[in-house]
Amino acid sequence: MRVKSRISSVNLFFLLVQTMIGVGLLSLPHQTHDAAGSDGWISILISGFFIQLIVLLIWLLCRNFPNLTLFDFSKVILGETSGTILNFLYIIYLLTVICYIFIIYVDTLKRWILPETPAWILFLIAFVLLIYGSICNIKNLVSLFSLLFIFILFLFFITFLVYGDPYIDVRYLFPIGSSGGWNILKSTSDSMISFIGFETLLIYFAFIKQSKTISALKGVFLAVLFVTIFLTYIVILSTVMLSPEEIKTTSEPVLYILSAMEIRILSRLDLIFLSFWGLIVFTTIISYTFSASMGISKLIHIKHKFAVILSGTFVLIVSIIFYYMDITLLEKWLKHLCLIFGIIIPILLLLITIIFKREAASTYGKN
Amino acid sequence: MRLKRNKSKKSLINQENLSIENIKSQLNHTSDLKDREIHSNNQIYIILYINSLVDQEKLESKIIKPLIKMENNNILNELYSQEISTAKSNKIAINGLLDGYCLLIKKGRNSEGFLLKTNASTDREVSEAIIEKTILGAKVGFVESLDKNIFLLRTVTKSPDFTVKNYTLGSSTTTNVSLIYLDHVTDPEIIKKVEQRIKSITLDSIRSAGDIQDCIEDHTVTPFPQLLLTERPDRASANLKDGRVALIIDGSPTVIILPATFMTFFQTPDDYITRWWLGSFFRFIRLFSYIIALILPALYIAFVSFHYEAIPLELVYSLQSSLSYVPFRPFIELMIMQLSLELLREASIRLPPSVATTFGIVGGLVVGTAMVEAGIVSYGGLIVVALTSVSSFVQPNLEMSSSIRILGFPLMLLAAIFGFLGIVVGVLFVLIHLSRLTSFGLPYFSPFVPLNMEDFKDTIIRVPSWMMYKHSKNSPHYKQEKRSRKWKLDESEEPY
Repeated sequence: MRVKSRISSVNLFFLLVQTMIGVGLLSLPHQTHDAAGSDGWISILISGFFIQLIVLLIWLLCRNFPNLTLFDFSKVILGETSGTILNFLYIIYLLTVICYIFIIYVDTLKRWILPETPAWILFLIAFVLLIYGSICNIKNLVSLFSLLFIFILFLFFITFLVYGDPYIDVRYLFPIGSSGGWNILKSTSDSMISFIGFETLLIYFAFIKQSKTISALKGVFLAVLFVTIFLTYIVILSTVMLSPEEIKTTSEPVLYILSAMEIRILSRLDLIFLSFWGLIVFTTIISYTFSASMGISKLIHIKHKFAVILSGTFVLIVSIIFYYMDITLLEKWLKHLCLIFGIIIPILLLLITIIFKREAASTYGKN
Repeated sequence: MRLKRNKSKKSLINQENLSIENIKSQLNHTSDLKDREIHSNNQIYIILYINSLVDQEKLESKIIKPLIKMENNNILNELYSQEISTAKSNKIAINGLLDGYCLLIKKGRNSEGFLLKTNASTDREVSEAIIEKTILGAKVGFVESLDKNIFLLRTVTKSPDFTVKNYTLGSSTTTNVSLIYLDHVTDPEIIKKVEQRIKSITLDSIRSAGDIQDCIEDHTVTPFPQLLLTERPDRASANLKDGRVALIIDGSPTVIILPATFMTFFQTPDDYITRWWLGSFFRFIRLFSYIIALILPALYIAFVSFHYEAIPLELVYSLQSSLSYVPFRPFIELMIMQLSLELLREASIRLPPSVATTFGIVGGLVVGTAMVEAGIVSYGGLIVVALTSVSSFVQPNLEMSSSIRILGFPLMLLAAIFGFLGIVVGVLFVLIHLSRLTSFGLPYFSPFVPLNMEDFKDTIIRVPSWMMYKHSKNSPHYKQEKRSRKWKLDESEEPY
């Protein structure tokens, strides 16, 4: 079924930025440092460039099926049965991502703000917000995300306060490339997980006004560029601020830096940062839930509202189970899953489309 | 309270043809319905009117006198009434009578009558606006009469585009409502929507602007008002020029402006009278105070009961010294204060001004200080509540400032349960809600959602008027205003 609403390229920029910047932000410097040492920022830049290519491929795939989402054109490409299976897998993948975000979100909040609140209460709050935020149409989603974009800029400004710190040492960045080219390249696969969110383009491209022209891609390119620069900035900041030994032991270097800062009226900057970060993470959750619910409602033909409630309940239960079982398990899975669902499957679909010349059904292919 | 009603329906005998007996029985033979027979020029005329609604002087000198002295049978040429219309059915005749017209019927030819305007007016004189005060703006306020209000609006909005459309609402008692807009400036879509919604109102009777507001607003489950109520003609006129629509209800000095967006409630006429620096400053202060009034109590609770390590150490000591005597949790403490403040506010509204001052001193100062000294609330809590209420008084619009009160309590509760996270969750709820609201199809949180840089010129700041745009692109004056300052180029001197 064709989607009816249309969004502009600028709207897509907000959608994508808000989906991509999310939960990975806090622990990213720590992770990249594990893999690439002080050259983590190079690996972020490389993966950013890589994502641009992937996004281009996804666009090439989606432009063959104007106004069709992944859940529709998968059936055109693979046929009814295997298309449905693929849709089901994608829904499961999207829900897994939400679970992962839920777990990291609650875990971080518990460790930094509310150490004594039971985790399930935090899960419940997140659940309520997820339901309330996701029962809407794409226009509401865009307007919310563009409004909350201000808070991403706030995150940026808060980090400026750090520069008063006397312990800044640019030499931590040098010598550039000391970890060796191969190590840096290898670590890009690890930093890829902080870019997840671009695969929602498989769905959002359907809403864009003129998906065939290159202008549709402009917002997407800018979004990926913005995210790359933002993440690189965060990684460089943490590398400069903390010695290699410190980064190794702190799982959220950004918060660690900010908590040491003290401005006149506020002794805990990390609190402010965390609250804004909380808003940003929610946009990611809402975006993913919206996509997943869209898939569910197409799969089993129910209303969007019930699909949201269904996926919300699923996420709530699964994330609570995983939270008490093993926090890191989902992350390990996702590192591979995001490569499969974000990169490999779109490329395969593109290849099939090109080789077998699949096109949207003639009823809507012509205009 | 509604009293029990007589449900029996009147039999409408012979509704089509005009007959005096029918009219009388449909008006229940009310005592102030008078009729008079006049013999003139070999004809018998009957004048029917409701005594209490008719200006006696007008009736005698303009209708009865010329009628008696009439030489020929052409009524329309002889009478001095400014408005004459023919009434062909009982219904039209009755509506006319209720509006203060008198009905003139030539006996023998019962099927035709004339409605002559003779209505009395007991309007209050135009006086100063009481609630929405300005420093430099016009002082006039709307009154209770529909005609006079339209007159007030027209005098400040001289334009051939000025369009009035009349509606009669209510099924048992009728109320006249006028829809006013500037053609070519207002979006026809909005006019269409408003008309459609007004026509669908099927209330028994319209008591006030609130009834209409309830029926036509987009969202009812929201603390945010979507229609602007004003009592100032200059404000209404400025909004008309911006492409909005005004609704005037007969008998109500409050005019409805729609569609109103969030930022509309932060504009006052003073912003545009003072220089733009000052205007922008006021705007900023108002927005800032809105945010303060909304989250300051919640922040206080979160800081005091959860994150005391986040505030500077000196402040912790001084807060703690007065907090340690208070037996309640910060949330309860603030609730006590907020509730007593609401009491004070509600009590002072209906007091005469002379008593209100004394009341303010006793209620505010004496009770406040005594409460702190008795150890019921702390100094910190008192300061927070006082600041909050002052900030909420800064709001130029009453309804918008009451949205603070409605939203403030849940935020306080969330802050008391989850601390800082609770505030974030609450604010996110509000933001999601705001981003979804619409007002007559327009996004409510407008320049922010969807992000529109052009509209920022008249929101957080107010740019000079020559830089401002015209709201409607259909307007012939679109973007002409920049020329207003072209003289500057001509006058500028070369540096060498």
